[in-house]
Parts: sequence; structure tokens; C-alpha cells
Amino acid sequence: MPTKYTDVNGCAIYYHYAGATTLPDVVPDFSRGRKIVLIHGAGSNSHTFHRQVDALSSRHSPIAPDLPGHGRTSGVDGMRSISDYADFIVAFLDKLRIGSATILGHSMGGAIAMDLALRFSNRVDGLILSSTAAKFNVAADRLEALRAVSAGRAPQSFNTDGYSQRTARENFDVVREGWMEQIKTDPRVRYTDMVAVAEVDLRDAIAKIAKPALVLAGADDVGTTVADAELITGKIPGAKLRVFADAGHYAPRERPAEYNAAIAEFLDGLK
Amino acid sequence: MSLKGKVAVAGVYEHPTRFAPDRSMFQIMAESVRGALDDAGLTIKDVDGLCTTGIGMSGMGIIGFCDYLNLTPNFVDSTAIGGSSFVAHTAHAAAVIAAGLCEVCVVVYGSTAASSRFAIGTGGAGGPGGDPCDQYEVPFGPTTVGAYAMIAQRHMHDYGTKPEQLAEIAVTTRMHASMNPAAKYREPITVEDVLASRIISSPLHLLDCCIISDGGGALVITSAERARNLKKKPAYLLGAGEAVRHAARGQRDFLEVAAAQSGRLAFERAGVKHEDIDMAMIYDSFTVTVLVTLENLGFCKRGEGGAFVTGGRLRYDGALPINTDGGGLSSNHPGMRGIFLVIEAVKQLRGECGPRQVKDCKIALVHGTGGALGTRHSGATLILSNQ
Repeated sequence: MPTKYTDVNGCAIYYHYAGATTLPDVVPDFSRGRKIVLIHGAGSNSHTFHRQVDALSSRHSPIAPDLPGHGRTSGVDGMRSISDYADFIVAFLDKLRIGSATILGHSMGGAIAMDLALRFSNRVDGLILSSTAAKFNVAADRLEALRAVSAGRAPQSFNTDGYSQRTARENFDVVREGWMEQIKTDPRVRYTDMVAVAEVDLRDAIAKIAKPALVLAGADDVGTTVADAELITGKIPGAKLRVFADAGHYAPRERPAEYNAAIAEFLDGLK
Repeated sequence: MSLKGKVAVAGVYEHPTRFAPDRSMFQIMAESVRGALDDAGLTIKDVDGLCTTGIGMSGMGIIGFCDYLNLTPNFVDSTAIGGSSFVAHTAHAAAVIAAGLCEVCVVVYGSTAASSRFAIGTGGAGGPGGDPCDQYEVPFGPTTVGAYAMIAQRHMHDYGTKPEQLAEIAVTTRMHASMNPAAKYREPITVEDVLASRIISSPLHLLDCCIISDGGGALVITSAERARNLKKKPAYLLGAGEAVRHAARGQRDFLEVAAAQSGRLAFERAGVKHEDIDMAMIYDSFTVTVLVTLENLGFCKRGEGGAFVTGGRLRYDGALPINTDGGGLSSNHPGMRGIFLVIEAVKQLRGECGPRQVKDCKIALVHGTGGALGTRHSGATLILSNQ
């Protein structure tokens, strides 16, 4: 799975893609199958999707960037709002000379994807909304805990909260993998991301989305729940819902086979 | 023979990055060299001397970087005495320029400590071990932060110094960082924030410790005569000193550090007094480093550092402004910070510091500390002036 940097507004953006490597500053070939841009969640990075990029690479052109301030992208600050991140994705697409693509957004990335579909609908072929919500339920004490970490008052927590009980019991390696990726982003960015997530409310707006949409949810997700997914599915005309058993908030890691199959089926169904 | 006024810093550049996973150490160094030469109005063709530590490089160290720049200088120095190295390089470059061994010497540093995820402060103190002197320390697992925390413990024990007093150093430094758009941490903090942050090595809290960032920088040093004809106002070297301290088989006085010797030499050679110093750049690996360094440089008496650092004295508008760039505590600390001390001092002497500019800044002191203050460490002091 090759990776590359590209400069977007002075920030060196790191991204995973598929296919042949190219020289620096030469845009790779994204002509295979469907272009699909995968947007990660709060305080996370594109490594979340390495199983998806691998699985899609033989038939499609997946592209997964680390958002500004996240993972292996340069700079130390995240962005202030979901719409700032959506504007960034547009600039990223411009830089890679991608007119439009299917957008997969996970968690915070899902909110970014919905905002993109509303404000830049010509750049969106289809939407895959993964473990996300139109209005996130961010408890004040959770924000306060993240703020305490960013202020140095508390250590980062490494727990199994985002995972199903079965994952924590039988597949602990993916939990550990998540922790190893968590530490690649400054805790301040995780906090400001969650503030941005808490502020957004797309419940009414998404009824105007006129794009094919697939909504994915983990049955055991306590953060972005199946009810959140059902609300999105009910609002976006024609949206389909797929719920994965024994998955928490991290279905891309926890149930990769079913998750990848659902994405492939959706891409195949696009006109 | 005195060096006073014969050599100047003619160009400086601080790399703006704080996290650069897209760049190698050599790239950051090369970009810094270009930046400093641009600042001086010189080109790589003018360079005939090069100083860097060689730390982080393989094999032949500095020669590999000469290869990268396609440079064949007449003088190289890769003195590696920790974070103070680049301060010492500046003095070494001045000496060889005054002696006629080279004319334009570049001092350069670069590191990807943050994006490469090095453990700096929590790593072992005094290197990987294996030297004869290590047998008394390494088996007991000291860390760098632990070696500095011991100094703080001793100071508190002997003189009743308070954690609040150390915290004020961090608060002042962050206030300065808030005026430096390139600083990694810019949100103001309070003494309460420092004391509420978690303990890393008692009595040092997280916010008593320097940050870890990527970064780099470079200096261009040349004769005073040549510097006067270049783009920027020269920062003349008035005096310099360097020193080392070690564990001395357990006989060392903990609170007498290398700065006592290097500072005394620098003041003597420069022929200036403490009250002549308009601002100081003091290596701030930890808050306690600043307190103990100020005592040892003679800005206050031993044991009085706690009171000395409070009451806003160290603010950019105070009686002895220090670390106006936000220091290692808030702006950047890629592992060895010495070069940034010189860069900010030169910018202050030129009057280029915008909102954090110290008024009428004519003479600046720079002191770098390298290694672990509680065991083996180095100190290098410079006194610079714009006149």
C-alpha cells in the first residue's frame, strides 16, 4: 500500500493510496474503478482504513488522507470546525485533480462527508457514512476528560470503550493497533476535534442530500449508536443501512470482511 | 588575544516546522542553512566552515552532511556536548574566524524528534552506558528528567524553593510563546495549571518539562568587518565561555553547575556586568534548569533563585527578560535547543521580535546546557551585542 505527501495550503498531507508509486509531486493514477476518499475520525488517522485500502485496491482507487494536525501529516493544529475540514477535503481533491469521488467518512469523518455532500455536491458521487451521527452525543464530562489530557492534568486513556465486548475478548490486537495510532496525534487535536463534532447538527440539512448513501453502524457502538444511524438513514432519501454484529465504534478494524464487502457492493451499485 | 567584537552572527534562521513527518533531518538542516544564508545575504558558495553535532547521523557524521550540501569547507567542528553544542560551536567558529582558518562558518541543527517519536527526557541519562563512569549510574536506571528533578529536590530541600516559583517560569515562557506564531503551545497557562499537571518526576510536573517537537535552525558567523557589509545588522560576539561538570565520583556539589564557570569566563572576556544584560536566553529543558542557571551565572545569589524568578521579572517587559520566543517549555525542543537560543538573542538585538520585542535591547546573554544537570553536563555562554 503506497503512501505519499502532497502540499495542501502549506501543509504536507500524508495519504494512503493504491497502485503504482510515482515521483514526488506527481499525482498517482486514480483511474481504476471508482475513486473513493476515506476520511478518518476525531484524533485519528488514515491508518484506520488500511484494511479497506488493501481490499479495495485491486478494483478501485482508494485514497485515505491524514487530516491536518493528525497522524503523519505535518503541523500541530487541527481545524476549528467540520466545515473547515470539508473545505480542506475540497482543496485536497483539487490538488490531486479529482473532480468527484465517493466519500466514506468514519465518525467525525462522516460529518465532514455529509457537509461535503451538502455544500459541494458536485464533488460527491456517493456517501458511505460509517459509525457517525447527524448530531453527536458528546457528553460534557467526556469533553472535560479530553481537555484534562490536553492540559497535561491526566494521562491519555487507553481503554476498550470503542470496541465490542467480543473484539476486546477475542481480537485484542486490533485494540492495541488503535492505541498505537491514537498516540500519533497530539491530544489537543483530539480535544478540538471533539469540540467541533459537538457543535455540528446536520439533522435537518441532510434531508436535502440527493446522492446514493450507505449508512454503516456497529451493533455494539455506544458512542454513535444504531439509533443515530437509523436517523440518518431515515432522513437521506434512498439511504440504505447496514448494521454489523459484534462491532463497536471501529467496524473497519473489528469486522473488516463484512465492512469491505458492503463498501464494494455499494461501489458496484453506483451508476 | 581577545575575541571581543572581532566576529559577528550575520544571519539566523529558525525552521518554522514543529512537526515534519514529511521531512528528513538533513532536509530540515539544509533548508535552515539556506534560510540563514538568505538572511545574511550570502550564498552557499561563500561558506567555508561548518559546525553541527553529527548526533543522529551515521558513520562519518558531519562529512555526510557536507556531502548532502556538496560542500568542501576548510573547517569543520562536530563538538557534541548535548543541547549546548550549538552555543559552543558559535564560540569555536568565532575563534577560528579570528585566527584566519575560515571566513564564513555555518552552524546548523535539525531533528525530527517528535515525528520519529524519540523519548528524550524519559530516556536514559548520560547515554546508553558503557563508559567507566556509567557503572555508578546506569544500573540504577536514571532518566534525564530524573537527573534534573534531583536538582530541584535539592534546591527545595536546602533553600525552601516552592513548586509555585518554578511554575512561574513555565507561565512566563508560555506568555512569550503566545506572542510567537510559530510556537507549538500558545495558549496561556497559570501557575495553577502547572501545579495541576501530572507529576513526571517529582517535583517536576508535565508543564515544568520542555516539549518535544521537530525543528532546526542555522547561524551564519563571519568577521565583524565582513558582517558590517551584509544585509542585516550584525550581532557582535563580546565574550564566550564553556565548561563541563560530571558526577566527580559522587563528590560533586549538585547546585554548582557548569554555568558558574562558563558564565564567569564569558563576563570576564566580554568586560560587561550583569546589569548590562538587557535580555537572556537560558536553556529551559525544565523550569529548574532556568532557576539554577540564573543563580550560577550570578544574576542572583545561590538559594535566592526562587524569589528571583517571580514577580514578572523574567517577562519580556520585566527587569531581566528571558526566553522571549517561548523557549523549550512552549515553542520548540527537538532534543538539543542551543541554536534557538542564539537565533532569538540575535533577533532581539536586531529588533525583529514584534510584540515580544524587548525595549532597547543592546546586550544579550545566551546560555546553553547540555546533558543531564544532575550528572554529566556541559554549559556554554555567549554575550552578544548590536554595538
